[in-house]
Amino acid sequence: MHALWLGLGFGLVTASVLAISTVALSLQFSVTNFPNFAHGEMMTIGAYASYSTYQATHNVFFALGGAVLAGVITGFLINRLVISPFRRRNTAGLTLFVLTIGLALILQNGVLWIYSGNAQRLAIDPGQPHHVGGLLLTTQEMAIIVGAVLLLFGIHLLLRHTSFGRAQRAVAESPTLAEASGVNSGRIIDQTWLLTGGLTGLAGFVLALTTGSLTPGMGFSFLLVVFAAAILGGIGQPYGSMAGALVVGLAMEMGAVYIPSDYKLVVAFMILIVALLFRPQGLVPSKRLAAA
Amino acid sequence: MLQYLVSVCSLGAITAILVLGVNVRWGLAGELDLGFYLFPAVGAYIFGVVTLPKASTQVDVTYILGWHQSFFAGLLAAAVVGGLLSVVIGAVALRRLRANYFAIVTVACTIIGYTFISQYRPLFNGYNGIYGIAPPFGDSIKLGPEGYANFFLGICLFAMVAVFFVVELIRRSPFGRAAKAVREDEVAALAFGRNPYILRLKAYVIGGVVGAIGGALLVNYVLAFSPNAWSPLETFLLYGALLVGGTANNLGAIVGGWLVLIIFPQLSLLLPPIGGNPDALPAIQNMVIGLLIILTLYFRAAGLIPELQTMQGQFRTKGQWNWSRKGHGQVGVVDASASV
Repeated sequence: MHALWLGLGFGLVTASVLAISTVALSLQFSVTNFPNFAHGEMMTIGAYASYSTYQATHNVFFALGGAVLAGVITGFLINRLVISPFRRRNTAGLTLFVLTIGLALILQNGVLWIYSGNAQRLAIDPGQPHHVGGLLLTTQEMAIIVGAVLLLFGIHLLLRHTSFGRAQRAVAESPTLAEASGVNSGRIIDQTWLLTGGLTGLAGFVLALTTGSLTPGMGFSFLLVVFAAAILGGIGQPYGSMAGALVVGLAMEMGAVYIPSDYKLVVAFMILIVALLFRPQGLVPSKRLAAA
Repeated sequence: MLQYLVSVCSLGAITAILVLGVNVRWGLAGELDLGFYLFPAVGAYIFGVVTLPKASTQVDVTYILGWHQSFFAGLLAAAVVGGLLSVVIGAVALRRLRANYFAIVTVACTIIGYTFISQYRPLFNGYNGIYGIAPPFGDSIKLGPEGYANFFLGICLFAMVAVFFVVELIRRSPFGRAAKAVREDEVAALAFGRNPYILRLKAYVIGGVVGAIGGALLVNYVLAFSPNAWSPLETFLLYGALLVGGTANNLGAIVGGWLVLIIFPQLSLLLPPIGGNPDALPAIQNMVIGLLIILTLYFRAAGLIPELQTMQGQFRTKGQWNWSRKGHGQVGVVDASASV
């Protein structure tokens, strides 16, 4: 029973990381309509940016800021330099998807070039463990969980109660209809890339915090878990993504109590495959179905 | 120097076979299979355990089978297992998924396979992998090391040409045309009484068999195979080669494989060393391949040698190569009259 409680604690932490990343992927998908295969690499870049900032300043908040800033810049550049030229030609979604594979190769190997393949350690002190109602969580883990909940609530407020949020949801629903109602959908897409870039960079930083070590492939191995959560929740649906992240995060970590933890990813991928085959519309139905 | 070239060319022929396998799936049938490398890997492992003798109890090695069979038996076993695995994965993943999601599921399957092969030691000896694979026909033919390298190059080139002819025949067959029709317009193909699911599954299986054969040859080249030797990421490099060479053109696949994955990396070795760490050169090579993918999609989506609009061969079109600049999925209706 004790092990299960530990698993629950880890699960909540993983779910927090996953939720931030998945919401970013889903928001980006909702306006661009293709899954970004370079999303994992954007997380890697955020993580390494936080590592470099922390090495230079030894301040956790600067490291966090560095990750967010790196994510925003990467998102901006990807959108401006790579996606936009293709979008202007009305390129098919599948081609854009293949395009992001090329991007993933470039970004991941760029990190490999600069930082080498050796694992780097993000030496931020996780703090003392505390008992929280049966769970055993370090200060850092509590900060991650609380931070993620606050952040997701902030995104909820942003989507529901600001003009940007209304316009963003309108573009996600139908770009042409939004245009007809006076929304500049191009600008909304650009802004969404900035927002999701920042969130993805942040998710990379939090991932590095929880795993402690950084490798150039860290984001890529996490990417499919993010896809699993996004698809389970209903891709393009920010609220469904939060639910999907919670389910996948808990299943991975609590599953690791019973099976060797090396198979953690396998649990997430099985959820992904089963979700795609049996509930392609996701927990929160999306109008874009994964299966015909 | 010559021996080095012979070795590089053997690898080139094997790589070209792998790109041809990708081309059957993505080029012919339009299946964005990002987990392709699972099939060469499984082919390599199966070839290994079929040709190796029983796992010795003296050293700490475990693997299944150990039948100590011949080169051809190993090749056949690799092809059969590659095909069966394709049937299993394809039957599930192709059933109802759309292209993006199919791609994600194939990557997931490959990472599951990678994890399982790495962790579960009784299968293929886990992380340490299998080694000590005997060079093919090493006992029966008496050649020096140089002569043997030439002989092996001959095997690889023969295999590459043979695979090329087989997949080219498949492309021109009624099945190949039907698969292309499904790729271009599934609803229209359905209206003409084709079953898109079965056609896609067939192409998926053929691709898997070609991949497994390529993997079996690869293990003969490196003589050992472990999770260090492959990763799910290699698939992207094969896609880079195919996109540059010419999607859906078998000759383009071979040209792309040689240009992007053999000639370009070899030439870049001649450059003065750059970067401060040992990972720099391979990293830069892969970055260039990623950049090539993006530039190809932007400037020449059909690749160097575009897909033929007719069902004729590359060299039988009376000297008129089809230099369509349109990319995959944008090619219009198959012009049947032009092939007469």
